[in-house]
Amino acid sequence: MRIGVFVCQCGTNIAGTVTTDKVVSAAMSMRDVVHAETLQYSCSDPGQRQILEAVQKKSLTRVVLAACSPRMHETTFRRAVTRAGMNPFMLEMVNIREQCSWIHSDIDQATDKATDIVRKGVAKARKLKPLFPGRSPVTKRVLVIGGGVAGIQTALDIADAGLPVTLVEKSPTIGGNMARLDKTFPTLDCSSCILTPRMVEAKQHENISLMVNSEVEKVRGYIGNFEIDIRKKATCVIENRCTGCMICQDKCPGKAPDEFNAGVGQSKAISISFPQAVPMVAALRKEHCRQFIKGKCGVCKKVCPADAIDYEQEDEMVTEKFGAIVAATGYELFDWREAYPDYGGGQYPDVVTSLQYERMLSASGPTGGHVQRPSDGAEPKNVVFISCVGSRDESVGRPFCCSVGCMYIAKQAILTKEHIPDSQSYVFYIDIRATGKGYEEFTRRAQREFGAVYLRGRVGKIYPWHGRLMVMGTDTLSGEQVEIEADLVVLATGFAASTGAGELARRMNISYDQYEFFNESHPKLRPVETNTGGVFLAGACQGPKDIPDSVAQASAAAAKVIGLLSKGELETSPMVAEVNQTACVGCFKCREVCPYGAIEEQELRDGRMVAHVIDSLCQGCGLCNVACPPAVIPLKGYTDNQLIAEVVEVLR
Amino acid sequence: MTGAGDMADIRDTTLETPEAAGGPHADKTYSYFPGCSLTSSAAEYDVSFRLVVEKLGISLDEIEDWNCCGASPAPHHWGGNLGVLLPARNLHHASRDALVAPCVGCYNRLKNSQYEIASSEEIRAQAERLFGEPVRYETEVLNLVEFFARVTTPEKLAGMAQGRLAGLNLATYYGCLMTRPAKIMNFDNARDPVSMKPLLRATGADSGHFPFKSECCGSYMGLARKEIVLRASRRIIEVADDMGFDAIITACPLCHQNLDLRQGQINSTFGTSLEMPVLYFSQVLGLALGLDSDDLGIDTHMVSARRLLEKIRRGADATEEKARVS
Repeated sequence: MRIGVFVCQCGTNIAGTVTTDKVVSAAMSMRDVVHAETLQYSCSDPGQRQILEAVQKKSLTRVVLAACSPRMHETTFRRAVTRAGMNPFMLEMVNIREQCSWIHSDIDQATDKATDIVRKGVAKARKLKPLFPGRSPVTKRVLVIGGGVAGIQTALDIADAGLPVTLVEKSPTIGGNMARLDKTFPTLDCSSCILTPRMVEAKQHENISLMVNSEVEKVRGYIGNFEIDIRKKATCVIENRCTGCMICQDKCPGKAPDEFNAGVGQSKAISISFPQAVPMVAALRKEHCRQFIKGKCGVCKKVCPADAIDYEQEDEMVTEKFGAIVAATGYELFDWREAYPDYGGGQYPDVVTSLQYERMLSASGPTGGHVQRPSDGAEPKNVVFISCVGSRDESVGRPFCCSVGCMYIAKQAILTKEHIPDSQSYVFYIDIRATGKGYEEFTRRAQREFGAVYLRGRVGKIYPWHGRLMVMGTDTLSGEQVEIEADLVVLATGFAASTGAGELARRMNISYDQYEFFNESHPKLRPVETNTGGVFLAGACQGPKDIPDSVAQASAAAAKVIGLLSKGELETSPMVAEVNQTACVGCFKCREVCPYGAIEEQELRDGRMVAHVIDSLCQGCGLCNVACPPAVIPLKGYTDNQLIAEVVEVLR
Repeated sequence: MTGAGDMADIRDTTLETPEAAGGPHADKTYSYFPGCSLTSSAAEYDVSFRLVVEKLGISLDEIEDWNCCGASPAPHHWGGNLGVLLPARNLHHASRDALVAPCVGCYNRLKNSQYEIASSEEIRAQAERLFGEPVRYETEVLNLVEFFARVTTPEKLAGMAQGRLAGLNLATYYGCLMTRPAKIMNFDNARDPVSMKPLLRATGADSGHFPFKSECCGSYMGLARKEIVLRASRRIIEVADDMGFDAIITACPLCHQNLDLRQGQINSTFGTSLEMPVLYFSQVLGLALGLDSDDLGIDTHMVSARRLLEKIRRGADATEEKARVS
């Protein structure tokens, strides 16, 4: 056995705290170590070449690399030793950066600790066995969850590459939040003019199948081979019969909240969300429908010329196989009401959210684009915008920036002036964050050309005052208290992850942050990947973003998916569990704990039933390993012998 | 003070016995700390509090030989730990499970004192030297709203109040001292206090959202910079008036002073014609329980509550009429 030890300096990242030469000389005295050296940057081309040369020159059979976290570069180094003719799994990487040099300041102690870590690695390396990855076939179909602009973009890009896509959307139409916007900043493009054609394209694309009113219920399998249950919720409308004539909506006597219009105006129990909906199919909401509440009505069924109403319709479960998943579940507005009692907590009708105001500005909105105060329908003259409601506010547990508020306030202030020329907008802001292309100029325009008065400070209170609203705040630049009588107050409400985002993340086995935004695999280098192979992210489900960023990320996710599925089959990790069947007692505790369904029963020749691991399903999580009462399911690459050898060295 | 005769009246006029009015802790004995305001400028607060307590069948035990609560002049003018040790002596002599301090200034000082003593060994030692024994400070300190919520329940109160205050819309005004600083007071939500509401609603009255419920009244600036108080209090009253409230309900003698006593000054300074009654929480409960408004000291306020009382009387007449007809 010939072990080589390489100690990376990582510039001063490691060498600043760890005397790498000392670690090398200590390593030389360890059993079976025939070569040890320092490397300035082991991940660089010269660094990798040094490793390769040493392996070949000294005929090394195992390599211990003391450097950064294996999460960073293990794959890189496995490839490097493979080029030298070694089995890639004969490399043991130990972490002396994140777990040693970065967190200590005493050089001597850090050096000792690094030496211990190397010793532990050498002990494990001695027990390594060559492993050989398996191969598994790939299902060349993609699931995109969420039909907002990000999901549509991803779906179209992937479909254009020739791969079949299923686009799942929980509401009755695709389009997401962007479909509710009037104009977009900083160009003042009409939002639906640029989005609607894309929605139609998604519907007409031969490679895209659209599933609205649907939600992902269960995710099984792994990268390249997911098996997914999708629930198609009953809407009492037969989708392929409905022509979108909207007669049912006109005649329906059941009033219902207008969710598409963010609660501005009212809708019907059976309705089509908006005139450009895709698909143009009605949906019935049972909780508001007289047929279901009172047991009699049936108006829509009577008037439907296409006989598309079916009150007996039930949820439908669809199970399909996919090779990759893109989550594009978007965002919702933060529910500000409980968090901001000072702004009336939702009790003043003329305090609206930015999305409600967007619907009031939109020509396709409930007021036909005429801005009206909800309380009395009057045209507002003084409009106050308050930024950062539910963002950048630690007192309500929302410290992060919504990243679009400053921009859409500027846009709405401009539109306000265009709609009502004798109006005056006031904007309370904390900072103006306008970092995109043309953004800063846009916020300046709002002030200079459209006369919006910007006041730097927070609003402390809003209260009713002689039929108007008094807005009390501070102007921190002048140090004055400000009171403005407003006809309408627009809250720039922050972003929240979509309802149920955390639950969906758990189903897909991906991680999410405390606000239920999904975590990318690496904030810089793997922005659209997750830590679960085959699951990708697009748009605001990962964190607040504007439209250009969402679209860019959506195309990036599509590129990743296309790259993944361009392969005929995928290499599977050989670091999987393996049952020692002669010692297995057949209790199947392992099968109970396995989250991947990777354990099956197998009958031995003597008739005993024992456990068997299906390699292609096992993800190497190790749960069976610890659950096994006689401890006979080692995890390859992390066997008990290997771990115990490490522990023994650490405790020496 | 009401005597046994009044107790008999209650039995006659209500279906519930006083004993049954109790909440889960009605049987406890509570130490009572009136403080200086309730013996002088806010005497009606003390009177109404005692009347309501009696009507609910709760026994109070006034702390013997109580002293200053340590209100702002003590710590501010004399420094040292006087602002902590003065209330500590009251806590020390309370020696009961719980203590009620209707004046929120007193309540605030007592709770502050508990907090300081608990977090400083030095102060504990100082108190021990002064009192000649280890200081007892862990008595639970209750404000008036907390106290009533403890000794009765909205359901019980509603049974006794029989909707007497129906038709009134009362603005709940908490001021600052009851909930702030939040980590020491540890009572209600400092940004949006709501604890008065359940009991007020139980009287039959409505109590809509009042945006100025915890806004500053101007506090003791009334002596040094009166204009600050006038400006601050004016807005509270004016907004309550604009929103159609019949009265402002407070639990703080200083707020009451600024809102009620100075309402005339506000009117003459700003040319307004405000006439907004400002009642103590205990007085409202008293009215709800059918006690006489003069007994409750409502007639001692500067701003007349006649319109409010008229409204209650009209409500009562209508009820009577309805009962007679049916």
